[in-house]
Amino acid sequence: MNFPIESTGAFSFSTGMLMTFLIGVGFGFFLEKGGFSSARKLTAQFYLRDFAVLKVMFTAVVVAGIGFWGLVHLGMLDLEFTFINLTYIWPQIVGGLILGIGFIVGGYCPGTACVAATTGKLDALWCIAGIFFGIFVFSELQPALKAFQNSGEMGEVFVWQWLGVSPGIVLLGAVLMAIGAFSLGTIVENKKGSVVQPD
Amino acid sequence: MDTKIINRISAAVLLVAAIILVLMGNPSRVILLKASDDLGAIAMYGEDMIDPLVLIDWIIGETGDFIVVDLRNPSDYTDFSINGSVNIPFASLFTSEGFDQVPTHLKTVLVCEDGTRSGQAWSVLRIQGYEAYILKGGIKGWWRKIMTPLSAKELLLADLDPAELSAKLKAAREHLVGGGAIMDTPSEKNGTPPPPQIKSKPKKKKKSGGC
Repeated sequence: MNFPIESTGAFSFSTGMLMTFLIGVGFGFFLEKGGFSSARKLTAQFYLRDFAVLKVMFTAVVVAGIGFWGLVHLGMLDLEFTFINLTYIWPQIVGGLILGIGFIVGGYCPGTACVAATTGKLDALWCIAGIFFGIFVFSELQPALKAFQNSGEMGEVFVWQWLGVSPGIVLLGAVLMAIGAFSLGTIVENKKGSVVQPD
Repeated sequence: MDTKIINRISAAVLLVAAIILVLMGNPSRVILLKASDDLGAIAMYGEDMIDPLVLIDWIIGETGDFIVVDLRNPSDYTDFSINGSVNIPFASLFTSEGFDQVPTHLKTVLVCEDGTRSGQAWSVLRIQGYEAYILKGGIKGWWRKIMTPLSAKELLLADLDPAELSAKLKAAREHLVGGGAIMDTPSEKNGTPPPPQIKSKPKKKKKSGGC
């Protein structure tokens, strides 16, 4: 079997959409089950009281990274069929900062806001409305921001290419960082008291 | 089972997996991605194309620094092909075996029916670092420009001196099919070349014996 599944041409567009839907359902289910629809739990990360967000997201990155490169090594995943976002270093740094500030102030990132909204949380609905308003404002200002938006282009670049090492080295570094961060997070959590229960 | 033990086992599994990937090194065929505008610029300035008249110079000059890869089906390739070309059907090219047949140190001239498939293969090969070119017009262009005599009008419209071009093409045909050969030329009434119909001699015989 080859991945991504669409690359084999064995599935129709509608089957692909159905699979995407099912994966989305699973993703939403587990985010909710992990308590990630709670703004209190999510923002507790930034006050160093609950490291669940870091643990879940970092674990996802490391597991996905190992799975991805493992499949590439096994010849089961063709990089040609994968989509890699172009790197525009300056706007992405600024965008990351804005997202981080919005995360703390709003209590949600875009994905968790959607999960929380489905449970009927009013703050999440307002957060989503804000996201749409922000997109609208950006679209209106886009002609003026175009030069900045396209600045610092580095093309489609992997971290390991940028550092000049093999993908495995970067993954090993990421796993070690994750283990270190998780241990440190747990120590801090234990010092500060109990983890935040989702509301 | 205790959560702590599960966490430790998970961490150990991830660590071992990462170490295995380190030991495996780089995947055999990692795409060396370039900025997409590099390819765009090459295509925009027409540097992705090679004219049949240039390719024939390379073939006659026997420079040895290029390979002609024919992406058509084996049956079409057997019907008619460019001397010295290698047949790697389009679908087979996108496999590790297919790529391995294309030497990285040579210029690769891609040939298909009309240039469409070559364009697709060109993008992939260029991204992977190959110095690839598309034969302009594909095998139809080759047939039209090299294998059949040009009309007087076409000769006049060409960049080269008509007499010089005529002599060059005659020499090219003689080189390809043997001295004094007269090709069976298809009708050129509406200027659109029909697909090559002639059954060429087996390639090995061409070089040594002629028609």
